[in-house]
Amino acid sequence: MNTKNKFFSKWDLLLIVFLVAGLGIWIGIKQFSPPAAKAVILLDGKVYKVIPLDKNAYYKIYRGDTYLMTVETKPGAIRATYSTNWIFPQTETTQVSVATGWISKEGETIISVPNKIVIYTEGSKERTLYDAMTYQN
Amino acid sequence: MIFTIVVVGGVIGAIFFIKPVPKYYTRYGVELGTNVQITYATSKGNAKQVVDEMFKKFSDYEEIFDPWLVGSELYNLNHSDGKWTKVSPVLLTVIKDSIDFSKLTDGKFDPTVGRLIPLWGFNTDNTRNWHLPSPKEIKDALKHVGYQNVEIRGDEVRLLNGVWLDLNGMMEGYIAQMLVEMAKKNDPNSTGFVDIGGTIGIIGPKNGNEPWIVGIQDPRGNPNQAIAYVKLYSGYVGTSGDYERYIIVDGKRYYHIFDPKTGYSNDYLESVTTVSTRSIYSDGFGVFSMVAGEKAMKEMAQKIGVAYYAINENGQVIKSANWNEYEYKK
Repeated sequence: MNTKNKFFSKWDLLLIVFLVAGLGIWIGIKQFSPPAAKAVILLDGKVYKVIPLDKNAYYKIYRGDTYLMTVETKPGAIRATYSTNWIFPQTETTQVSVATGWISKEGETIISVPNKIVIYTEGSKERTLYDAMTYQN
Repeated sequence: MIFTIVVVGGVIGAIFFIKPVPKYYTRYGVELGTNVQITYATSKGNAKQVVDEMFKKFSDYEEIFDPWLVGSELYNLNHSDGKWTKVSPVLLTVIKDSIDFSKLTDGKFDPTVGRLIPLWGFNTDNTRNWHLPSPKEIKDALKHVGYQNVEIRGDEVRLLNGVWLDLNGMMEGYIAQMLVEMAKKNDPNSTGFVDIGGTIGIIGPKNGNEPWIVGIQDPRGNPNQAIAYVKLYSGYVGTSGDYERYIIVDGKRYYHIFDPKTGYSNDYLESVTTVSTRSIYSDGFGVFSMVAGEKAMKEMAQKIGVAYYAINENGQVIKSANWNEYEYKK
């Protein structure tokens, strides 16, 4: 009686082991590796600074010698804490960039139109449900 | 052995037959006094180069449409002292469309409110300049409002009675359309979208056959907070609202869309989002609705064939009957 299995050979078993191990390693890397999130700051349409979002810190943004904005980071997130286009208290006007608060997902942005600053995150595990946002113009 | 052949064959088959997902290039910027995002993928040429070319166009558009930029085409027209002035085809198109819509809305939408805007300081991004004008200032400015004062003769325009045009009510939609057309000219099968200050034009479906999901900003939330979602394979979506350019004086909110009859903003609606196959309506209909209110909004939507998602002054959601076609639910 021939007991040799025509469908599975020992090489097949080896291939299965490799495939399963490879899949496991890939899933492990995807799931358990720390997110390499970073924030990209654009000023006047050009990359001003790329900040790794791995610690609590503050950064100031300048155009030449002119101070424009302070941003605060914490692991995985960034927010604007102060912008020179400041609130005019008598009219309760809010400052959009500061009012935006923390952003952490891909697809979220902090915009300061007067200062021509755009901040967005990259490499974050989460992204927004939307691809773009419609808002008043 | 057979197993190995099946696996290897499957992998090779997958490599050859699975359609590759388009690689999207996204560029952000601040142009025309607003946030811009273009996301684009093409199999013809380099997506980045095409997007960069699109961004270069913004300085041209600013030279045409910015009514406050000294020397721009629109600035010169507004200061032409009632003389016939030759204008570019692009400017002429937007003026014609704006006047046509003014007639259709019986002046509820009116691009001749230009003199009211600096009165409130809303022509600048500096919030320190935003303020409530005196009733006399508004009354005086209203003497120079009225779309009937715009005359068109061939490629010439004449502004009578000292009116100033402000084309923001349709300009962004029109520019989005021109950029979408530019992208399609490069590659008719290209996909992506153009977002100019929240007015979004679809170049082609996501990954070739999926809708792009567009969030509608919560008018009383933060800029990344969506209150609802739209799914779009083509066409345009835009929003008008009372929540970015506004002041609150003695507890009353005043924002940048003025009723051409009174010179003040109305408090019927917090936000109107419009889906349209025509770019000019994605903005213009919202402006009209903010001025005219719910009943007129419903009637006009049926007349011009747009879908809308609005939030009234009580925070209640109002949707057009055809909104379901576009609504995306989580």
